[in-house]
Amino acid sequence: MQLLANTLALASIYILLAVGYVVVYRASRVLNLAHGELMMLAGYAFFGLVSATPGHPLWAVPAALVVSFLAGVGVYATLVRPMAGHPLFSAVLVTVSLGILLRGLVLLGWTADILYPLAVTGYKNVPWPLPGGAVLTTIDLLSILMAVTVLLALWGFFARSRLGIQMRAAAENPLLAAQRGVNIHLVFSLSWGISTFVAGVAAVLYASKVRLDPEIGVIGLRAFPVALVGGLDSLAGVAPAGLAIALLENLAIRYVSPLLSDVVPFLALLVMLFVRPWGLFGTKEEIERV
Amino acid sequence: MAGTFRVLAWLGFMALLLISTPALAQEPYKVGITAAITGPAAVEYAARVETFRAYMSKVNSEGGINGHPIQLGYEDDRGEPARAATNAKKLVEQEKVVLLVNTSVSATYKPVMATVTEAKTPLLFGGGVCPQEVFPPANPLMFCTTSFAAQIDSDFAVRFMKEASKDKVRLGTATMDIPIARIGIDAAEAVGRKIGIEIVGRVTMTPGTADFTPFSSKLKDAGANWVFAWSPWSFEIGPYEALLNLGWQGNYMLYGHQQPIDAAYPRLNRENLYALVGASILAEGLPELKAMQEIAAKHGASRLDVEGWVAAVAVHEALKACGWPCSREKLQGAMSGLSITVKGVKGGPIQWSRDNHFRTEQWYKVYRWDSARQRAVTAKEWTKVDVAEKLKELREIIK
Amino acid sequence: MRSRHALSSAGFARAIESGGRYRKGGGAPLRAMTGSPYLKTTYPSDAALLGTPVRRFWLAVFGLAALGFPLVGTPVLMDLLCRTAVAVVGAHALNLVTGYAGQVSLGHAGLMAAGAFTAGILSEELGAPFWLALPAAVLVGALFGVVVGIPSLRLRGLYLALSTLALHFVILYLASEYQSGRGFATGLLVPRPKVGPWTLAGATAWYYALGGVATLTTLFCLNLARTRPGRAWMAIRDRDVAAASMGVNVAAWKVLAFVVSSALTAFGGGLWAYYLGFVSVEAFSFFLTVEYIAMVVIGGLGSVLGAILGATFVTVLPYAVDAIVNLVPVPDRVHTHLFAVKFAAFGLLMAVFLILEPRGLVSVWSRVRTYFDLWPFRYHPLKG
Repeated sequence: MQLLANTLALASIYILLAVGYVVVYRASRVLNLAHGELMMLAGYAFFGLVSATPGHPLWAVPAALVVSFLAGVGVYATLVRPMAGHPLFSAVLVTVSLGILLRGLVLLGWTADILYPLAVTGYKNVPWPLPGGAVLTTIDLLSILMAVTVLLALWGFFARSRLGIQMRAAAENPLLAAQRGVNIHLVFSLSWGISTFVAGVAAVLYASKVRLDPEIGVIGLRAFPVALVGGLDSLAGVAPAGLAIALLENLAIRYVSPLLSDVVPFLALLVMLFVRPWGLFGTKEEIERV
Repeated sequence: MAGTFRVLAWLGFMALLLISTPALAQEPYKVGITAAITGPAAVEYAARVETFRAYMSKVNSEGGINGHPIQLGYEDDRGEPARAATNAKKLVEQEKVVLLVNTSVSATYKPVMATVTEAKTPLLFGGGVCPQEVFPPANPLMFCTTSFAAQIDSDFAVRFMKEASKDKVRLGTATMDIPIARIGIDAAEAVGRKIGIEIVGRVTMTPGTADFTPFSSKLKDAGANWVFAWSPWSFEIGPYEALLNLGWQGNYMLYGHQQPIDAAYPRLNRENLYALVGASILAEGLPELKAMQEIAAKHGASRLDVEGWVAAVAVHEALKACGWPCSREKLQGAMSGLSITVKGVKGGPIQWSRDNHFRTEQWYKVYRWDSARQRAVTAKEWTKVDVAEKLKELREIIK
Repeated sequence: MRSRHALSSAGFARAIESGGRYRKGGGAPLRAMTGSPYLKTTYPSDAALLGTPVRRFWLAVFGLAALGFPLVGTPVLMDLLCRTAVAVVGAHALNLVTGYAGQVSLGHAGLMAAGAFTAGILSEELGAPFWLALPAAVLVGALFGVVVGIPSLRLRGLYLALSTLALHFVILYLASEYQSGRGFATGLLVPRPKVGPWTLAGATAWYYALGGVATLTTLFCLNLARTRPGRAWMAIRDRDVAAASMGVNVAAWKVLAFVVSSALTAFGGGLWAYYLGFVSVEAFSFFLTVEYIAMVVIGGLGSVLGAILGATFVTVLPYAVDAIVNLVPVPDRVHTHLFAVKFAAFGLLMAVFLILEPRGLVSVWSRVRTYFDLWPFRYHPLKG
């Protein structure tokens, strides 16, 4: 039972981060390798805002999310838009450079010490006993709730709202969509904004539950296989992939060897690549027939 | 108007240049540091370098050592062995430092050691875990002031647990997947078994671990009532917090790395966290430590790191003993018999001998948090461990 | 209107009439008329590496400077150049598979680790000399190349990249298990290469050795690129269906690309192990792969010169940034914060460069060279 609880908690963070990769890939066809660092930046923004508003800590959460949204839009405007039409490799490398730049800036602003935003707010993360002997903390429950909410909200947004449909059109065929009057740059910057917004949610939750330091971006890299297994351009695949990989990781840690926990997501990815390379729900791409 | 402004700006720039140029009226002692100032390990090591620099700043402002200032060259190695190798080459072969300090992760040790061996320069490990080469029989060029050491720490911790625990100890261990940490935990388990402790589980976490809950679940479900963790700080405190989140009620012991433990105690406000230390922690509020904090702040360090301070004192004493002019050979000789005392910080002096560049006696103290009094209190007072004897004993136990 | 270029149509026609037949050694009358070495009249002269006196001259200057550098170089610069030489070997390897054959490979660090660990394990466990350990490393690399080449037959683009990335993690896991299991806490020490009484030690010796190896590797890659393998790879990269219909055995050439590249990468890893004298799994993170991809992309994909330029740029840039930032006078207390500035500046510079020059340093070089080629009216047009 605890295994299930742990899996749900871990999967929710993975899902929140994987959503970011998927949304950006659908829009710009770019692998945003700086996603972990953008999440870290959101965490520091949260910490900064929480420290600056000692009396009203809860305001820092929406404020941090707004900051991360704007950061995503900023990244699109300054780094991704100029790379349109340029080789894909270069665009991905630009995101890597962005990651390095963000880590350096954060070091300058806050030094390398570990920080605890939750402690600054004065709230505590308490464990709640659940049926079956499992225990989950407040933040864990919040993470699960937020993952579900975000997925539902995004589904509703893309399926029903006008802007969402425009985004899907632009993702599928930018040229045609542009010719039909969709403002491509607005739509793409919104995609990036949404991606970092969701990363911000993940950041606030993770920084409150575990810690905040310049290296928490590594969890972004761990969530990357989740996006790939689910299908890099499929939001529907994120949830099953996240749950599957979190489950596999926890099983490996408990029953096989804790050292495998790093490799398990990539092993799952490898299996997927041989069986179904486009992911669980991704768009079928041409595969070589040899 | 613009012209005048420009002239003033240039004058200001020149003034700044003059101010920031160190007073090289006297020839300086040259010391080099290669450290993980940025990069993943910076969490532990950046503050050590800053404290080191602040201490040397203070020494220079008081007239230097034997009348000569000390000139520090730092290079950032980001915890990468290749960069550390380049830094060592630069500081030792190009800048011709008389002493090199390595304040970085253990992965950087071998290439740095290779460079100093070729150039016969003394090397001080001032903040990173002490390598095998400083224990007897010691490599003549390698010295270490760091308070923690893999096997001796574990041995002391496990024995403390046995004597402090009312019930039988069911021990779980947690460590990070780096070779030196695994060696420490192996020692803990071997000693534990010898003194009659049941080892119920062990978790080894990879450096990329983001969520500690599954690892802690494993320990909790194995029925551990004591958990010992020995590794870089994040991997010591991570499982502890995850265990708390799971509602675990046992006792947790870790090595109390400096500032993080000071901040963790009041934040967590739990009585079941025991910190094994080789140097006093700031939360105890000792007057000597307060004075050190003030000096560090005055000279621009963002916070005091005791390991960095001790290393700086060691360098100060070593150069003082070397005299002027100081050559690498002379310094190596001076260091081989050096005794370094930092009042209030350690239970006893760091005493080096020809064979033992770790120290002849290691002193430990154990803290725990008292939530009623809201401060760290002593769980076990300063205890001396004879290093040579202990190492012999450990060699027997850990076959 | 007179065209200043030698190939104005009227003049050319007359030149052809007056005896410009394609014969060996022929074309001398033409060259005498135009003075331009760019007018090639034989196939060998067209395919020559150093076809013009200008190129030969500048290469000679560069060669002399490179040979004489140890006389003036500081230990740090020599070390930097040695590391650049090793990086050049790795960059060439990656360029072969990614630039020429168009197969994305993210397993570079893993393959270098495979080579380095093979060399390290053989010298540590069996005491093997370097002329056994290095070829063994190459062999191991080739084997991994086969392993990584097989998925390339079925996957392409992103998915192929990911399978290579998975291989990277698997290799590192194995290496880490070996390192911890055998008790090499801080890494394996690799002794200096010895041939009989001579040991390769000292900055100068390493500089010449590594420089020589890098030069040979460059020649090897140039030859590959300019002959059948290179053409087959480029055909596969551009349109593999068309290549197959032209008779190129796509499967075989793809696997061969991976095998050659991985073998060369493992060789680079072995060199690295010997130069550093030390092997440890921490040195081979995913970031190393990113660095090599940066070298190849910043240099210019699909260009041998690009690999060299990119390798130099990426290796030297952090130290150049350090040197420039060090020039700024700062008060002592801020000194350690400078390192964060340098770290950030590196990322910023890379991003700016990629945005401004997405086609890489080679395109910058081309532009510079073309500018000098066309100036200042060096070659007079044909008379008449």
